Amino acid sequence: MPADRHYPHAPITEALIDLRVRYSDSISLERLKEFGAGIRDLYPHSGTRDVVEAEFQAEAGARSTRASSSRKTVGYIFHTADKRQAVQARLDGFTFSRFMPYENWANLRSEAYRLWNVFVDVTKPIEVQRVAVRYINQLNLPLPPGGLQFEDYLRTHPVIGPEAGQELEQFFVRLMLPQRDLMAHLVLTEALLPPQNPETVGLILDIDLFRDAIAFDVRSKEIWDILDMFRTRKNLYFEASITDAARELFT
Amino acid sequence: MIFVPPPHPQYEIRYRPSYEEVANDDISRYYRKTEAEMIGSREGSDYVRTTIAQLEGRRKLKQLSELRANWDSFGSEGPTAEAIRIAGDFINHLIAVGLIPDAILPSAEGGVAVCFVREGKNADVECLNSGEVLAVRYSRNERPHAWAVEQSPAGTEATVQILSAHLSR
Repeated sequence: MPADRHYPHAPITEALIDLRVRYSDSISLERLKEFGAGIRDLYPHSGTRDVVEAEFQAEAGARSTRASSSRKTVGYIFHTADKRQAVQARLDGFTFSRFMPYENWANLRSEAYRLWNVFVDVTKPIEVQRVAVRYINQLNLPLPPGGLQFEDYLRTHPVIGPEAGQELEQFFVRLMLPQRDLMAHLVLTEALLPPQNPETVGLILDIDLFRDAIAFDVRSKEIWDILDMFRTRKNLYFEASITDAARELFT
Repeated sequence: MIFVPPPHPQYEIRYRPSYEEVANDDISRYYRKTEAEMIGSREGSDYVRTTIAQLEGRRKLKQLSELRANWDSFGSEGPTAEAIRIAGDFINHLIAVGLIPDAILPSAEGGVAVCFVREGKNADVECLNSGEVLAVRYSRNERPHAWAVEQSPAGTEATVQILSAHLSR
């Protein structure tokens, strides 16, 4: 099985490198903004990264509950002018993303490395606690008149016992696969997108490889060696998950 | 006139059966952990987050397109197909730069209002049935500043940039 193929029309919608960090003191959003200011020449578009916090209160004896929600900024996302790349600086770390069209690992890694060094200089994290490589693919599978057989395109897919009805409208599969030799986990997610057009079915194939519970020095070369190994393993799982008919869709 | 939403946007509350009512503590803990991991997974990808936001936006616009006249019992018109189209275009531009709307609402003026709230800062874009697009930004310490959005790619882009700068300031 070819584990390191280059596809001219790769279905990668987002490839990302994610590093979660710990700071010596409390990090401020202002400091994260300074990072954005330092890369503004190539990443001029900025937006907030927010989390929505919901709170539900039920008092003893009360007939009703009270619900409230608020949006809290946890960092910033900076996009290139063509919106093909983005970097996030958050209170918990750093993420570099490359969107379609994907180029190659060397470019992804080198730009992530460059931005990471700027991030470290400005925000001064003291250690890296989690490293991850994640590739999100969108496969647009042709929908023949009689219906789509997933096994024509996928080798990893949900199976319904043959005695039961075989019609399926939606699925979401999440597999957490230990990678003991890498001291890591691989999360493989497959999900169908809502129908966009009558001729194809959009399927997300998301491969997320991570190692956590670590404490690497922020300048450690080991971080980047691990990311290289993760990328090779990701390729292996990607190729193992699809058939030649799927490969033909993006070659 | 421009629609200004209440300080707290209207969130949809969807019913979900609570696993905590049917599962024991160990199972509940495991479900919670899985749920947190899945949320982390969703939030960790800009593509997944924005795709979900776009699908949610489309779903909401479809709902609004089905509103009839007098939907608010005050005689307001439902949004026209053109207002829905313009709002959809604007929403996609906003989401592309990371601005996920907090609410997409029908406008009492006839049209669609796209609303943002970020830590005391607000912004709305109102796509009216007349084809006009109005934007407003304001905050606790700032008087509202409203402007008409020029109907061109450059006009849309300029407004997206103003809103992005305001909300992430």
